[in-house]
Amino acid sequence: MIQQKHRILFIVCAVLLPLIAFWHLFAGEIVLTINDLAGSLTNYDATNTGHIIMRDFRFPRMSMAMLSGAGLSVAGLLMQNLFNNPLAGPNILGISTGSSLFVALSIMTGISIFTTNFGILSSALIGAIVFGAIILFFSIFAKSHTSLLLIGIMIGSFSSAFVSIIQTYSDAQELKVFVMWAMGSLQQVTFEQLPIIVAFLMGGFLLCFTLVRSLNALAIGSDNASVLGINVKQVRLLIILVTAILTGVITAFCGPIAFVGLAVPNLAKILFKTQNHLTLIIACIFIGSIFMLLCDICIQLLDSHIHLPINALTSLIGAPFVIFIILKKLT
Amino acid sequence: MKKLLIIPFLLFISLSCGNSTTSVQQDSESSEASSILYAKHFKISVKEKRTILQIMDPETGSVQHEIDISSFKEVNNPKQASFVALSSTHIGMISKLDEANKIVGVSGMQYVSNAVVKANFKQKKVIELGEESTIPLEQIINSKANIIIYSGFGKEFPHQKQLEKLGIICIPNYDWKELHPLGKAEWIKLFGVLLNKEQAANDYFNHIEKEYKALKELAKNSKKSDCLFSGNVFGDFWYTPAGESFNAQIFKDANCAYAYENTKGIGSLSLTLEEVLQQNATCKYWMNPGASTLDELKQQNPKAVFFEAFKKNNVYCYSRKGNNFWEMSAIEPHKVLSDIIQVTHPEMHLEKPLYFYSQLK
Repeated sequence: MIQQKHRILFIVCAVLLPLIAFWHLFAGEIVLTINDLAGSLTNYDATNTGHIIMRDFRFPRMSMAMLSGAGLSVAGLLMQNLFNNPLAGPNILGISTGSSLFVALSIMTGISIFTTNFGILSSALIGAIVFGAIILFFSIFAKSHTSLLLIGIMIGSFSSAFVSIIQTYSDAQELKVFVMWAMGSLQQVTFEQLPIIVAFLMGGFLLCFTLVRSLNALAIGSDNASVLGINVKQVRLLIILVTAILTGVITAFCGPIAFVGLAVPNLAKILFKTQNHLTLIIACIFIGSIFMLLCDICIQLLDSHIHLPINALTSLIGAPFVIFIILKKLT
Repeated sequence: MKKLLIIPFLLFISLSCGNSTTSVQQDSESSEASSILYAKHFKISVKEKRTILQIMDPETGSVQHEIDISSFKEVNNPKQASFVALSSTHIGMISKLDEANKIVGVSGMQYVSNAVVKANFKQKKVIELGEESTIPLEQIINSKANIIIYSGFGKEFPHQKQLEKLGIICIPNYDWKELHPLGKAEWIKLFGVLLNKEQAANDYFNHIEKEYKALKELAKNSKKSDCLFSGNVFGDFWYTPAGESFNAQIFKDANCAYAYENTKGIGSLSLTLEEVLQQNATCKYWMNPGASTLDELKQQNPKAVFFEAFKKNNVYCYSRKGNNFWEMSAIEPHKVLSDIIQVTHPEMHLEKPLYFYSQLK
């Protein structure tokens, strides 16, 4: 059950989120009006540049910021629960890199089916699942959290090396497609692609909510969870599956985005001070969305002075935060 | 007293003038072996009967490298050049002088379109050396090359000093920094000297200069073209040639209404997608998006569909012959200009098939 103080925090988030999303819609360099927003929603004119920018550029970008923030944060929370380690996350444990490797393989094999949306999406999903399973396999043998993190980093380096080799031998055009994808962007998603992304992510979130009891049990250790009647093996596989869906879909459409999956769940835990995963999942959805929206607003506001890719900004904010968490744990 | 002070001052001035004359006289001892008309970043001169190649620093204009290339020009038994050519344009220039057989090393075969180099690679007469920064020293020595032409991104070639001790000359080629299309093409004169084919290089350059100028004149006499924009999105930003850049110069010479012709800068402008759409939504021509089909373009940039040029199928790119453009366009700027004029000035009825460019389908 959600506590009273958490309800207040959720109300604050629920008020902030639409306000920030609204701000995001009008944060671009091109000045648009409320009329453009209203017109693009109610009377869309495909020849009106204002309507096009609002509906086809800003709305998908805003939606993608929210969805990617929420999805990666929940994926990070699941990883942290699975490995009982606050420093786990899809990026650190090599799941995002696994997605990248499979996308690189698919783009640079030169087979046209793989360069379609479906091809990139399925490759990213398979990559995330395979690398999730690999890290799960190693977690059986890893004696400490640090060892597992190091294994994750090594797996990430290993797949990055493969990506570099593939890049060396790829055709210029394929290399270009891959490099553009790997740079990460919230802008490339189209209005028509949004329903597919929403469907996958909603499916992931729903699965996640069905796992709340198991996640709460796992938070007190797998042995205790078994005693409570949880089928730990099955839950672990489901966690990997959900993480792979969330990470894979976002990585496929936006490219790899670093640190969100690591930083936001920790921020949620600091703010909400709970181990109740129902609360934490909802918190991650809210905070992740707000975090990514704010990052993207910063990018748009700074555009005239400095061009920042989304991946660079999330790392600039996320990396110091992770150092803070490590230092906090050490002390 | 004042007069007394003026005397040493005048003496100083006269001595200073005397020094500068000496310096001019010293300079006049060296004469230009090859007249360079458009290229800004190299000179070939004769100093004390030695042929000296000077490569200028593109940033400052000062001499960055001075290389004695006399041995390649000797009347009796000149040294035979054998090249490691690390950029596509170098391959194009060497092959234009019918000396592609003198290329023994390239960066990556996947980027080569020259048939001679490809055939020689199959016969193991050409080796692949990889990226400029990570090039293996021993493989260069094995290739028996005596000249390495590199792009000069890092100013000095890796292991340059060791290679020079082995008699291998490293020459940075700043053709990519030239702002005039004929300046870029003029680098063929450098290859002409190295291959002892100066006359052929000069003749070829004079030919393309004449062609280029004639086309430019023709375009100038026509009305300005409909609006044109260029480039594509990469990551989160749209890169397009700045108003003073090499590509903008070609658009200008083709009398095109290039959307960013009045901007400052010699490189690229990075713009947001929204800005480009707002400024060019109804623009008629979209050039150089870096794709060879409309599907490929849509995959690279899903928002391409909102441009009128895309909807009306007025997108053109240098994709007719694959990598051939990168090898030959620098040395055939008149063909690039001709293509752009044909695309943007249909009223001129040039009626030649497009050479490098094709309409995306």
